[in-house]
Amino acid sequence: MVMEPAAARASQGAASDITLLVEQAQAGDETAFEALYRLHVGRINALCRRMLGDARWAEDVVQDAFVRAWRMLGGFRRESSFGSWLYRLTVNVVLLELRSAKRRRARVVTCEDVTEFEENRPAAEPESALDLEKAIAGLPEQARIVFVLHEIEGYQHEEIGQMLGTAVGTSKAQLHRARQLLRERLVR
Amino acid sequence: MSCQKRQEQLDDLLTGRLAAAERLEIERHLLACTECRSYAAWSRELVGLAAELPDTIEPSRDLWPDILSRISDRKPRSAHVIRLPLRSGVTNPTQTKPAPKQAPSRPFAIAAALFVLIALSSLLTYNLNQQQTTTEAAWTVTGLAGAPRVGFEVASEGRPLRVGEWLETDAGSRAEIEVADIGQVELRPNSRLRVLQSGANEHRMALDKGSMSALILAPPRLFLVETPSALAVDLGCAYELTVDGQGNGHLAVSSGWVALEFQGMQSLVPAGASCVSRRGLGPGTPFFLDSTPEFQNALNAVDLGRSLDASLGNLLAASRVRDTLSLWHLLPRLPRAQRELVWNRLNQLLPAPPNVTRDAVLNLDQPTLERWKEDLESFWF
Repeated sequence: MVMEPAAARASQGAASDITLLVEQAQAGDETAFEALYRLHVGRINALCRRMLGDARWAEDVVQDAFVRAWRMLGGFRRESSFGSWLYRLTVNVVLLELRSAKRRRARVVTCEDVTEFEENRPAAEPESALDLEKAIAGLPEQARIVFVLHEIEGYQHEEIGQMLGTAVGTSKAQLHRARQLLRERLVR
Repeated sequence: MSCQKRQEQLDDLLTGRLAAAERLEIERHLLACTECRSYAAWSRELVGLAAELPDTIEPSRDLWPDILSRISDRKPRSAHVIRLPLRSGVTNPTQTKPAPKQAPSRPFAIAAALFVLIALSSLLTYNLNQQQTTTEAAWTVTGLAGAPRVGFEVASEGRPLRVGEWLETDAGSRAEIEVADIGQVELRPNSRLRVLQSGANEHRMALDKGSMSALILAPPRLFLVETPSALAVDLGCAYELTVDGQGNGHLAVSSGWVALEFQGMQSLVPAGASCVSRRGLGPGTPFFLDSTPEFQNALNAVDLGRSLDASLGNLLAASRVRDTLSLWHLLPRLPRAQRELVWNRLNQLLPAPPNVTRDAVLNLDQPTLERWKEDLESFWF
């Protein structure tokens, strides 16, 4: 795919470029927003995929996250970097989606999803990381979310508790459960 | 303490967040317990494995065309203007007054009146149609427990909630509302809410009594909740709101920001903070939930004007850097003499930047106060 000039500029990744792109996107420039999308989609997709444990579902939610980001850009006040803002917004989009899905009971994370997850991985990755990705995808929902947010994304239990609307102790208990389950799965 | 509880505290131990006595107890236990030592070793190994995971995973296809098709008809909403918190009854200087009207000549007045009548009836018809088309499926309600009711009927799963309808829960029921495509509201037991408006530019409801939580992902000022004591304006956030039997409100924000507004008065409440609103008085001063009980008690007294000098003295003595949230909000709410004390304390905690001068602050110069807020905000997270 041929990148638009703004997208090509963004690939250089300079912070000043990102600031400029954000300003242009806030003014309604879709090309600038595309450049921001291309800069961040890999990280956002990784986050969604790990939190949801399902590659196809994750790609739907990635779209939702960028659509919401576009609509909410006017409220981005640069207290944090655009990447941090987009990341936090995506976490909330995923949590909303999970709550809706629980009620719909229409989507279930199945073993096939995990298989697909594995098949979609780049072949050059170390096997231990690949095993860990599979094992994370197979965790129960709450344990998986807490593990991803704490162990991979670096959020503190207090922040996770706020995001999930649960006590700090619940977050710690879910992390403990995740670690135990991963040990059962990975240490034979 | 069980082995599981000790294992849950291992992270706190490694990051130095345990008190000395707890640390000692767990360290001793680790020496004696093989299982806990094994868990600790595995946790360390897992941290290493997680660090090896790639930061990025590209999607299996280019998602941009689909995203573009969903955004191309909508521009980003412009940033909201955060007004200064003012004392109740004080006119907000940022609000522009409408230009004075001039009396039209009589023939022109009749023609104008007819035109307005026709225009109003067309607008009314349009609005009714719009309301019906935009609200039919915009909000839906689902019972989570018990038998929540919409009007006189028990809410069935996925029932649309239309403008003007009441949703009510009793002691044993809870309900969840899907608010168009912008988020969810959970109505707790013994609560009642009503949908006031639902459209592309505003979703508004009234919480008459009880408690609700909201998780909203929308541009600022798109989702609003009226209570008897204040209007809660979503600025992109998650929060809990309670209205007691007297119509007083209590807000606790867990993510983003919420503004509480009443008659030109505004309190801005960030994540981790709370704010009380009182019927007839509007929103009080927001405060962080981790502030000391002494600080919170003194703030409550200051808000109610009880023994102002003594209460303010206690408040300032108990204030920390993070409590500059409350102190900044107090500036326009206090008489000048007390405002000066708050200025002094704010400067002790965090010296004002060069472009924020004492005189400008004491004279409540709005751009200056805004600049200071922007400077302080980095300490409010």
